[in-house]
This record gives sequence, structure tokens and C-alpha cells, in this order.
Amino acid sequence: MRYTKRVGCATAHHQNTRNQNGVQQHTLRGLMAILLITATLSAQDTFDRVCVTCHIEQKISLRQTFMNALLVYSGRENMKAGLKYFLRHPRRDSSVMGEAFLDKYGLAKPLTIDDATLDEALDIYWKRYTVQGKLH
Amino acid sequence: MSASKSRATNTFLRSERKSLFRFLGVYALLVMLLIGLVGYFYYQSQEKLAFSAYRIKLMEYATDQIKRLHYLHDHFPERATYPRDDRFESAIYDLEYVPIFSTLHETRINLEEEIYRVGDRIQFVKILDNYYLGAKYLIIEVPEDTEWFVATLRTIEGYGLGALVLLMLIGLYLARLFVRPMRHSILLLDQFIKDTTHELNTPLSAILANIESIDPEGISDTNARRLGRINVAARTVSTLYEDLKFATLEQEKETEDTGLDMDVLVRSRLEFFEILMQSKKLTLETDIAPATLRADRRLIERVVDNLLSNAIKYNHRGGTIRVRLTQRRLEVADTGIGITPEVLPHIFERYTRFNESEGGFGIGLSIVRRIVDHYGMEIKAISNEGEGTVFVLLFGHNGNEK
Ligand code: HEC
Repeated sequence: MRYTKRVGCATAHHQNTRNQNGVQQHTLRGLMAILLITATLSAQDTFDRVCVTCHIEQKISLRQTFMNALLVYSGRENMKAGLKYFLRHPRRDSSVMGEAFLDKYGLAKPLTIDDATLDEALDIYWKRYTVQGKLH
Repeated sequence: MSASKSRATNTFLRSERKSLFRFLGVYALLVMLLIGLVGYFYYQSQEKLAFSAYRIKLMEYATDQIKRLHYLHDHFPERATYPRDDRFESAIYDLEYVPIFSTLHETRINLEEEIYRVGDRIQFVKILDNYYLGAKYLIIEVPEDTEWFVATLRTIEGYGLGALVLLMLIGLYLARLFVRPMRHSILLLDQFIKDTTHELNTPLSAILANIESIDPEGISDTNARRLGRINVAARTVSTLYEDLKFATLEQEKETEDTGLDMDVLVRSRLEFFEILMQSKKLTLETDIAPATLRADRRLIERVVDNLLSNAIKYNHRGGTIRVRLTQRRLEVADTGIGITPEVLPHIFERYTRFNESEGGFGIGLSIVRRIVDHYGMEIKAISNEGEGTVFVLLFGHNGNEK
């Protein structure tokens, strides 16, 4: 919510500077910087926003789901495609989690968020949890 | 080989040896190809054997490593140390061929094959059932031990060499077996010619001696003419006999070089052939200057005889023979049929005849060539078809004068 407010603030500032031509360049640069920061911050947040909240609520470790998914999907693109399809159309027989787990937690509800957001979230998911580059 | 064998026989034996070597060369090539092929297949089978031994060992290593990967998978990220083993190096790759972790020395991996040699290493690729840590491919790498390779090479060398020697001996035996009948018949023919030639000697001498001893005064004209024809025929046969004798019986004889008066020799041979020239109504023109030469009389006589007898044989009736002798040069020219330019380069080869109608073995000029070559002299034939032929023998200073 904090970031959404900041965007609103920037818009207001922009409208205020519309008549002051002398400082327009300066303000435009500031605006751009703020927009960029906002975009980055909100991007980093997509995953937290879309996935983490629900998973915390349901007490399902995203680390555990990742490691289970890794066991089946192996590569990055493969996992993204597989999870994308699963999260939109969850089915017991295509889950990576196993019978006992599904009995305890129940099947996930189909996600209805837009494609771009889901892709972004899955990208972040991979980056945050991947094994690659973290072994020594 | 006994010394009695004539040059004809030796020539055959030489060509026999040549074809024997040629056969053996081709045979050896084939044998080596065969041995190479067998060696190659043997090597392949040994390599397969060595690889299957590797496969068993590396499969064990892979099983051990997979257990450790399983453990690490379950405890990631609290534990993040890739499992290592003194016995081998390893690497894991994901389904998209992205490396997850590697301790390999040889990075030229090949995920398509199960086991292979790369550089001095053997790599074994195991596809995981569960992609622990996301790894679909586990590569186990060990240095290749070259012991089997050296042993195999040594075996191939040893047996290959043995087989080569054995097969070559068999080849030699077979080759000899095949040429034996041919060689036998050639030797037989050669012996036959020799014997026949030898048998001709006595009757021919008797004929010639008896012709000489007949007094032409005491017989009628008709009979004198008949006697003349007999004489001509006998001398023709005599020349042929001398050539045959030279070609078969006297080949191996050492030459006895003496100082020869060429003019005397040429004159005496002209005398011998006089009656033959008369019989063909040939005119003889001579221009004979004194000349000396160091050589074997027997051989030089063959040269002069053959040149003269050819000049007679291939002349037209009533033609001319011109004999010119200088210090270092003998020319015998006829006004005969001449030799075509196509044949001219081949006249000194054995069994070439100028045309089909005239008799002769074609042996004469080849004898001339051999003798001329023996003394390092030079002979050439200049001929205009229909006008005649000039044979020029250059004997001065071994034919260096042109
Ligand atoms: C509305 C709640 C909810 C949201 C939002 C949600 N999940 Fe889940 N997720 C679940 C539940 C419940 C399960 C366990 C049952 C299952 O696997 O279907 C689960 C399972 C998973 C699994 C295991 C998949 C499988 O094959 O069983 C993965 C991976 C996963 N979530 C990732 C994500 C990601 C990434 C996001 C964000 C894009 C996300 N989840 C959003 C509820 C949610």
C-alpha cells in the first residue's frame, strides 16, 4: 500500500510543476527516478503479494514446494511452465506434493491473476529458491 | 641357377621374378589390410570390454553420489556443500543442460552418450530418476588407465606380425606353385631350342664344306646354277644358325676382346655374302678404309653379318648395297623397301619384322642391339620408305663420335 501512495504523490507533484517551465527538466528526472524505483520495488513484491500471503496463511513452506517441484521439473523454464499450468489448473494427479500432503492441506485454488504477473512471480520464485550458484 | 641357362631363360626368370614380386606386393597389401581390419575389430572389442568394466565401477560411484545428492536435496539450504569423493570427479546438470555444480577436469561433456573417453578421462553419464537439486544428469569422471590399451596394442602387434609372416610365407609358396608349370615349360622350350641348334651344327658344316669342295668346272651349267642356289640357301641357314647359337648357347660365354682389323673383317664377311648378293642381282659398292677396333671377333661378326644379311634380305632384286667403313663408322645402306616411321623405333626389339613376307626370326637386330650396348657403341637406322635404309654403326671411342 505504501508504494501505491508514492505513485499517487508523484502524479500530484507532476501536476503541480506543469506551469513552472524552469524546473521542468529537473522535476522530470526526479519523476523518472521515482517511477523506476517504484517499478522495481513493486516487481520485487509481486511474489510476496501473490504467493507468500496465501502460503503463510495456509502454513505451506514455499521452500518445501520449491524443492518438491525441483525434483520433478529440474530446469528453470520447465518448472516455470509446469507451475504456471498447475497453479491455473491444480489437479491431484499433477501435483508434486504427494498424497499425504494433499490430504492434509487440500488442493490449491486455481489462480486467476494475469499472465504477466504470474510469470513475474514465478521468475522471482526461481531466483529466490534456486540451488544453482548456491552450492560450494 | 646353372650357368648353362641361356639369356632367354634368364630374361624369363627375371620377368618371372618381377611378376612374383608384384604378386607378393599386392598380396602383402591385402594381408596387411586384413590384419589391420582384424586388429581394428579386436581393439574395438577390447575397448568395449574395458568400457564395460568402467561402467560397472562408475555405476557404483554414481549410486553413492546420488545418495549424497538426495541427502543434500533434503537439507538444502542449511547444507550447501557439494559432495566430493576422492575416487572420482563429478558434475550435475539440469534438464536444460544448465550446469548446477561441477568438479570435472574435462569440461567437454557429452550428455547424449552413457560412457565415453574425452581427453585422458572417462566420463559416465547417469540420468537420475528423481532430480535431486534439480539435477537430471550426473556425470562421473575418472582418469583413464591406459593399461588395457598398451596390452591390446602389444597383442595386436605380436599376433599381427606373426600372421603377416605366416601369410607371406603361404603367399610365397602359392606363387611359386602357380608359376612352376609355366617356368617348367619355358625351360623345356629353351632346352629344346638349344638342343636343336646344337644338332644343326654338324649337318650344316657338312653341307657348306661339301658345297665348297665341288669343282664347278666338272659339272654342267644347269647343275652349277643349282649348286649356286644350294649355296645361297645354305649360307642363309648358316647366318640364322649363328644367330640362334649366339642367342641360346653362347650367351653366357665370356667375351674375348682382341684387336680387330675391321676392314679385313668386313671384307671377309662381304665375301661370305657375295653369293647371296649375286643371287638377288645386287650391286655392291664399297668404300672401305682401314679401321681397328678392340672387341670380340665373334660378336662383331654377328653385328656385321646381321647388317649385311638384312641389307640383302630386304633389298629389291637388282638393287644396290653400299658399304662404307671409316676409322670409327660402318655404314650399310640398301635400296630396299624401307621401314615405316611407326616401325622404325621398334626395329631393335626382339621379334619385330619389317614386313610379313620376308622370313627370319627377327632375332638378328635384337642381337645387334645387345652387342652394341655391351660395347657402349651406337647404332642408328635412317630410312625412307620405298627408297631404302641406312644402318650406321658408330664404334670409334665407344660411339661418342656422332
Ligand atoms: C490462494 C492460496 C495460494 C496462492 C495465492 C498460491 N498458492 Fe501455492 N499452493 C497453495 C496450496 C493450498 C498448495 C498446496 C496444495 C497443492 O499443491 O495443490 C499450494 C502448492 C503450491 C506448490 C506445489 C505445487 C504442486 O504441484 O503441488 C507450489 C510450487 C506453489 N504452491 C507455488 C506458488 C506460487 C509460486 C504462487 C504465486 C504465483 C502460489 N503458490 C500462490 C495455495 C496458494
